[in-house]
Amino acid sequence: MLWTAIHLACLTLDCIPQAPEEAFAVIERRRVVAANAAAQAAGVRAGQSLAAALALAPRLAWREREPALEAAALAGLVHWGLGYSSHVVPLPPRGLLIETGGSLKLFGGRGALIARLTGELAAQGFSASLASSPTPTGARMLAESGHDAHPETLTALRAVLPGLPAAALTAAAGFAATFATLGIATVADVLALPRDGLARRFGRDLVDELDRACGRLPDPVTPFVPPDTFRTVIALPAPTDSAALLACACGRALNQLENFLRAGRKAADRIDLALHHERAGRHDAPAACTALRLDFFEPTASAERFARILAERLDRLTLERRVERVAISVPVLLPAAAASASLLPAAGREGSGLLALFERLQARLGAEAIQGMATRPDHRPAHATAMPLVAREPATHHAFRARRADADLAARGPRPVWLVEPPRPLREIGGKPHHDGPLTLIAGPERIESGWWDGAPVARDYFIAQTPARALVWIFRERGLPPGWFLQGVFG
Amino acid sequence: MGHALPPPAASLPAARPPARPGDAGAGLAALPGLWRGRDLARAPSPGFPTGFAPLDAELPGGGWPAGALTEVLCGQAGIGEVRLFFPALSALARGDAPVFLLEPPWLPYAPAFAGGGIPAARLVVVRPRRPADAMWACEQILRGLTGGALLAWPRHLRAQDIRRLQLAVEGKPVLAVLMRPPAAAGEPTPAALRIALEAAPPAHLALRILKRRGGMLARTLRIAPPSPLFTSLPAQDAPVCHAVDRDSSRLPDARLHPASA
Repeated sequence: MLWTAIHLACLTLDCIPQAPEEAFAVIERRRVVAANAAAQAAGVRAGQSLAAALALAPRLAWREREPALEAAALAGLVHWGLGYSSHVVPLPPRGLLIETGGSLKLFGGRGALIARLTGELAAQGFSASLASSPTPTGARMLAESGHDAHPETLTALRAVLPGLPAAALTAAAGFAATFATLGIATVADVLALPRDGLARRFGRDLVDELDRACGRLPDPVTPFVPPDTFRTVIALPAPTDSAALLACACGRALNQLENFLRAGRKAADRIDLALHHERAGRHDAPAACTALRLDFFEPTASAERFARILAERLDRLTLERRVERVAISVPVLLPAAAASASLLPAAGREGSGLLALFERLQARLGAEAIQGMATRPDHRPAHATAMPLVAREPATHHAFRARRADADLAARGPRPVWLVEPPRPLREIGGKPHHDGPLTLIAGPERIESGWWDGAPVARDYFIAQTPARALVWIFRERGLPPGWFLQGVFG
Repeated sequence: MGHALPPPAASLPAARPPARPGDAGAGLAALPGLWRGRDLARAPSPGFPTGFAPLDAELPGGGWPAGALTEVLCGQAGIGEVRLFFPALSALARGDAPVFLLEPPWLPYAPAFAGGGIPAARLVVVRPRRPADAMWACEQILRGLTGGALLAWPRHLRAQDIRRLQLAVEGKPVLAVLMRPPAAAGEPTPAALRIALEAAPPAHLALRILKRRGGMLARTLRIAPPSPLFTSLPAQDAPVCHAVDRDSSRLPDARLHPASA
């Protein structure tokens, strides 16, 4: 087993997306808690008061510290880690452990895997230190001390550990002053002391932790189990109402969602977004919130598809007030259909491509702009056709139902390609109906009398007629009231 | 003492006889990319059979072009401009491929398509509210389809729009048809095929191929689209009609090609 520990020293800063060239600081109770490189260059340090920081860097952007955001960022990283291994252990407040021993062969060896982890962390905007060792505690201690060491055996680990500062031991957290008095600075000093004396003076936990780090005692950790729902919050660096910025900020959360879904082999067909607007005053009524719901035609786990539909929806949305944070939640997770590659070059998986096309069209044009067609077994022409909205029905089911109905209706009389509904009355001149000139009746009549049972009775004689321009139209003479000739269709 | 001149040409390899023009063709025809002036283009992929043998014979690829745009210039609705495509669409729809209708001029009537062999379940009608979205929808559909057909009635089309659509459909087994007014005949087009439809009595179509990959076609084809009538149209004295006399249609101007089936 090889455990890789990731320690996020600047999680307070990194959990808020920011531009690196702008000075930015995180404030807690009017005191600076963390400042980014540009702010530090201006002289801002942790512990200064907000007023002093603003005096040093007048263009400083600042934000209150929110533990919820840090927890959400850590959870997002845990989901990302699940893409590399099935054993991920979060170490709140700002670390996590990934069991990488089982993934070495897949990712091409320890060096390649560490490089890949580092690169992806940097791409997500986190500055982290990584270390790996055969024991979890050892890896954690190495990472928290900032040592970029990757001992592969216990002997190598026991050679590196003594060099770490004593503060790396969590059990020594309360004894910093005592250690300083006794002159204990590194783990080597702690190891040099007699074990019984250490246990009596500082507690059994310290000795046990040392043993676990060196591999003498078993070091069990509880792996993270993904919950049944996904929920995360993204903070925007500054309140905005630009759709492009919103879409960009949500991109990170959608990547987290994809990792989360793929780790649990699940898929989502509905995503709920809540856009929290900025408050009007400082401590006013709770901030207004715009709810947005994305529906997909099939359960999917692809971040690119989520992002595309979200971008279309955000384009169509008008925001009255600026948004300062976005909450994304997926209430229902569905099992994902595994995609198996085929040996032969496939002609293209028609189903998923077509459904993605419908999603895109619906996202931009609206659900009512896209309609399918269906026939209904009714003699009345206007009732014999239906245009249902394209819904999330499995294609085969719909096709089967339609095929049966079509088999009945194909046997009836000639029908026009285009339907004019409601029927357009035609002028009658000299006994002939007129539509762009006198019509010539060619075939007919087909008498349709039906529908007495639901209030729309029809009693008509249908004819096929030809206009002077040689277009074929479908007209009827109404046998009931109002009498006369009407145009019902055009034979396109 | 003089050495004899080298023996005369008898021992030299026999000179090849001069090549005749016809002979060169046999070797040249084997080259794939070569196009000779009087050939129809060999289309890179076979087209969709139109269902009308004389038309198939005149189109490169033996049918409607697959992976390229077809423009239909038709001024009068109702002469059979949609029914012309029914045989090709029904063959496509049998293979589980969708048929998109974009901005149709009226409501499509499902039983008519069902009667033409296209199950209603395969039809999708897209009617965007904003005109700006229509071209976007057309391009998205062509990009997203991997098989099937699109029949579009675009209202305002610019040359660069057509080029984008042509690029979107390039290389896919998709039948893409744009229905445009006859006034567009004057504009150049990047579409692979451009035909003009007019009515020809009694209920046939006079089809002129204005542009195709290969030479122009000088003559007009006469096609009978799938007729809405069960029987073929009656001659002058058929006892079908009621109450209204029909005008006897004059024979049209001389057609170079006899009536097709």
